[in-house]
Amino acid sequence: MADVRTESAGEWLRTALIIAAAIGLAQASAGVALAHKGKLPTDALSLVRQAAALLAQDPKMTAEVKERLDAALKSRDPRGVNLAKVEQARSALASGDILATRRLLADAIVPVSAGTPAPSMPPSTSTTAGTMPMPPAASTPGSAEAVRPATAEQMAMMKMAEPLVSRYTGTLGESTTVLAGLVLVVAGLVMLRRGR
Amino acid sequence: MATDAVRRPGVWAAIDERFGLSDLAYSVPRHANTLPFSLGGISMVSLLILVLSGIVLTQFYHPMPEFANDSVRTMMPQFGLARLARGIHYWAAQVFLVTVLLHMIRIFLTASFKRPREANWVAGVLLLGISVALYFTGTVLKWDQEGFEALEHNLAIGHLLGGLWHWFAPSFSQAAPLLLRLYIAHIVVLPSAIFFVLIVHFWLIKKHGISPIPGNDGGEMLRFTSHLAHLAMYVAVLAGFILILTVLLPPVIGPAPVEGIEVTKPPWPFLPLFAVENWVGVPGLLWVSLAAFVMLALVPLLDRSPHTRPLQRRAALALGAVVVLTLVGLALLAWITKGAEHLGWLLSIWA
Repeated sequence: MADVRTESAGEWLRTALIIAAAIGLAQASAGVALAHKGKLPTDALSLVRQAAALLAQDPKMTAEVKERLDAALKSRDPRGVNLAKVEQARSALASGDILATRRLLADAIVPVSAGTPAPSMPPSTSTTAGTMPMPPAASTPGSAEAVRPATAEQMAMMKMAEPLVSRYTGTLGESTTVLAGLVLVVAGLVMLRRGR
Repeated sequence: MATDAVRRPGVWAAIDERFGLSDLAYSVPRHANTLPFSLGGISMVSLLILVLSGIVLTQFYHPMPEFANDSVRTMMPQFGLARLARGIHYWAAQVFLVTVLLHMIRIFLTASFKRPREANWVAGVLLLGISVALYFTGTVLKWDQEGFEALEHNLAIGHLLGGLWHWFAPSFSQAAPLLLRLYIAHIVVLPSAIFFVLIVHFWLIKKHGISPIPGNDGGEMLRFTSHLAHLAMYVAVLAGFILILTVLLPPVIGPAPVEGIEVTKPPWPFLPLFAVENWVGVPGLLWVSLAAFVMLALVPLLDRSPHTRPLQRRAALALGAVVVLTLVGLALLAWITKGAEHLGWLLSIWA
């Protein structure tokens, strides 16, 4: 019996060593990834879209959002963005008003005349086309066009920037489905009890 | 009435003669009806529910990147067939993966992978791999920020592997976007693979029989058809819970994706890997995943002793417990900690 135990322990010690070696290998190669840091986009439109998405996902990521808004305000390529709104969004963020910040960022992405070239998209777009829809770009901050009310397209884009959480509303279909589920659970449990 | 009673056996006999259904009444041990030994059957039924609800979803989902997120959104506002199918699909996927994992833990605990069932353990590991791939592609398909970042990780791993994962490269197909190809993988390639391996899995179970409880080789037998009837009772409970959860906790669809940020955490099956990634970066994600699957497949080789009783396998069980506790610990760690940016290097390369 003791031999069996020793043999088994030996085999599993070997296994543990292999696992440790695999983890060591992973760690050794990890430096490759961590040595590179991501760069922020250079165009204001991408920066504002990223800031809006960050806030929509996690309102606590204010430092990352501020970094992007600062970069957007300094960007040499402000096409498609109302910088005055971005400035207001940065102030709202500084005062901790996340909701206002999100609304202002949605407003900051402005629709402009068609046919104007948009800021260049990252090369990966060709692989992953279909990220957040982008309005036609290029407007001068403060122009009449830049401050007009949100269009249906903008509203749709704002909607797409939010998670969609459905809730139970008590409709007939929902209630019937819940009831059917309860019947199945109870019937299954009763049959299992009888079938023992 | 009397005529029906006389006719029924005749009809049954006629059907049985043609389909051989009575062959299903072979003997299985009575413990096959216990919940731990029914987990594989429950996961199989969950897979069938996934197939049926998935077929319904194909009628509403648009697999092109420009429309994917919106097509999922249009399913959700009102409770109807699409929302019902998506909810069932989502919750059945959770049940499927949970029962598959519990099934594997049960096999390990009862040493059911030992001779002569080693090949079936390897088939099970393959099934787990395909299941995880199905879960992964399903996550990407909803095309929200979470799914998009999952795909970016996939691309990063593909980059690490060089030409091995050419299928993920944009140059592979100019006409079909990667999302469309992943959709085809999700609804055709991976289901075909899983059903192929399942046929092997079931054949080997039939060949070697349902494994005994360690230390209790004998015992009462019953018919397999009786086991199927018992399984149906578990499935009724399971289906009931899925329906209730579908209505009360419908799956969320996240915002349309934005490139260049990493802000989401992955779904629960990938949380341990997320913790590893936070620690050692994307290469760690790749190597740890590969190592885990290789180690899992090698379990029958590493624990070759003929002993199946827990007291005779204390070292193996202790190591198994350490692995499970580590995975749970990593998942909890990932859940409570803030994620880090892992793909910056990849984005830099693209830029």
